[in-house]
Amino acid sequence: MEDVITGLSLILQIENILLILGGVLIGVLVGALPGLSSPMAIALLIPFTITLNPVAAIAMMAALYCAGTFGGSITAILINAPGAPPAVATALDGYPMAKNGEPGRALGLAAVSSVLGGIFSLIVFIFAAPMLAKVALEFGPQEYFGLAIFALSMLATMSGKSSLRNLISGCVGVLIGTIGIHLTTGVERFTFDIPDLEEGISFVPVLIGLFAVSELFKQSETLNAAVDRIHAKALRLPTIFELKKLKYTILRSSGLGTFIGILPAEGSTVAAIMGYNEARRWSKNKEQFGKGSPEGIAGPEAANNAAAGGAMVPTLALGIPGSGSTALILAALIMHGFRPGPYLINETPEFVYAIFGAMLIANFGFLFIGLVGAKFFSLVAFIPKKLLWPAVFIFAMIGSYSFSSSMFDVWIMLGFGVVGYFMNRHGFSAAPLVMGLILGKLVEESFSQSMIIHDNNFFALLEKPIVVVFFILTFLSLSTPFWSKIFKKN
Amino acid sequence: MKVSKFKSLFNKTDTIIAIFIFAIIVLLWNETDNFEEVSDLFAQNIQAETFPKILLITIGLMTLMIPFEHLFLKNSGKDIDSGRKKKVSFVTYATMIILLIVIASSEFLGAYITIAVTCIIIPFFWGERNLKILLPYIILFPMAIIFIFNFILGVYFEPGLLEYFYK
Repeated sequence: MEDVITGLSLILQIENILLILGGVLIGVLVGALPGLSSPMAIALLIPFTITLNPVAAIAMMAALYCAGTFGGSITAILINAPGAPPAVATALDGYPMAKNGEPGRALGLAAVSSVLGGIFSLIVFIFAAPMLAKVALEFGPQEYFGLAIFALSMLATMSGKSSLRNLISGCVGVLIGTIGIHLTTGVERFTFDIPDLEEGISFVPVLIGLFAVSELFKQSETLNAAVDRIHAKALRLPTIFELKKLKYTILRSSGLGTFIGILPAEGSTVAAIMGYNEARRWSKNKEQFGKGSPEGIAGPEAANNAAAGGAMVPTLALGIPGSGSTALILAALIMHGFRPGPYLINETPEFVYAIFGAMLIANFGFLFIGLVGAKFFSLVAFIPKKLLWPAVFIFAMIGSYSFSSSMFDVWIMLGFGVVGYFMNRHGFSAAPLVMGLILGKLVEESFSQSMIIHDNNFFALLEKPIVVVFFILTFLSLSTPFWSKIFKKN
Repeated sequence: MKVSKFKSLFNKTDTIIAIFIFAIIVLLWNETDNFEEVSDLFAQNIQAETFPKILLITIGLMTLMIPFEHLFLKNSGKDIDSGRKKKVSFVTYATMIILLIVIASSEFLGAYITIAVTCIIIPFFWGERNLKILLPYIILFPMAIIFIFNFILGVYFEPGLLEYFYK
């Protein structure tokens, strides 16, 4: 109880509350702007939060993450262009409802369902994270190796065109993580006699390049795309009667979203699509779906925001990111000198409660911002691309440079921007690469330690039951496409 | 007939991508052979090259499947070529080159001028001609950026060319 009070008192300082609300505002803004996304905004924010205290910095990013998921639904509903991938499913019924003359109602349903989904997942987070951390305390390097391999294998099921390409991206990320001086032997690896590479490639310019600069190149292809706009004068909260009718949809989607969020690598997009499908499957008015069904909005919105809270569980308890955005939050934690995982939760539980508090405030924050700013956010999506993206590039350049005052990092950012653009074009997602980069050190360290313990006998790992469980899960996640095909045929 | 059937097994673009990835793998594999070798006692039996080599083999094995992947994806209703049917536009390539020039000249120009130049060049190149929007953007945005990052957040901006004028 003392930890809860300490954690909440940390977050309830006026400076921290303002930063959280700032994070919420940025989150809703980037969510509402098509092309900009929460991972991109977090990547751009990391270098500027490095001077803040860790609680404030992580709280701000967590708030941005929660709000960004909701922000994406604003443009999904008003212009049928999801501001962020998790809002894809919301557009299916949100846009028709808005077209039917009820944009405020659609936004209200999305906001309240998001808040309820978010709160549900935070309750799970506050109980599950410490429990998981306690279990993880028993983990040795072998178990961590098994877990990291399982997390990497889950990249195969991450949203994107191809599981195979996601896995390749993940491995390339791990490989990039090996650049620099090898800690055990002091040997330089892949430095090509470039002194700037001796300490390895910094996360920040890679993240900014892959998420922001590559998107700039993508946007340069569609500079004159026109969209139909629907003006929302105000956000209209759903009535108690409406909420009563939606309670099972919201509850089901919240549970589903939280569970999907907890799975390593599975993010809000998968949760939203499954939330929508489940809402439709259980609905008594299936024919209403696609024409502006309230369940079609509440289902995916509750699920995608619940996944945001769920994804924080493995991130903080195990140090394994639950999604692309949490991979960036994990990178920020590492930069602030933390080693996310069971020790973080068991030794500084107040930190976890502070994050919980921040995300709780963020959930109410975006409801409030949505209520007062619906009209503004419906206009913000129309900022001309030709002005918006040069501004993003300037932020990207300053962010990459300011982290270590190095022009080399700016070149890395541009290089990864170009690479990210071509990767995306050919079906290789950037998010698995980032997750691989962040997990890379854990994979190599735990692999080396396991090999030393077992005298280079890989099969000795199979004597550990938890490792066997992780290997079985890895096998199942890699073979999921084959299983699903067999089930579909039958 | 048989030749065309054999050809249809491969996706042309993906085959080129696979060859490109293999070329990089060969280059990096070669580089791992140049890693310094330390005594087994010091390296605790795991040399610095072991882990990167395992990764390169894994990536190589997966890359082998890339040219044929379109067949599996087609079965599940996905088209790997959908996102790349259109050629990369001239604007995109030119934007890449402009950004490259902006970054290359930023050390000489300094941060203030680079920000201002970026605000002018990219929107103008992308076809923005509305001066009512463009002028306030070119003047106000760089000023806001410099005020927030330089004066409030204390980010050091290289003066570059401005230093000479100042002197």
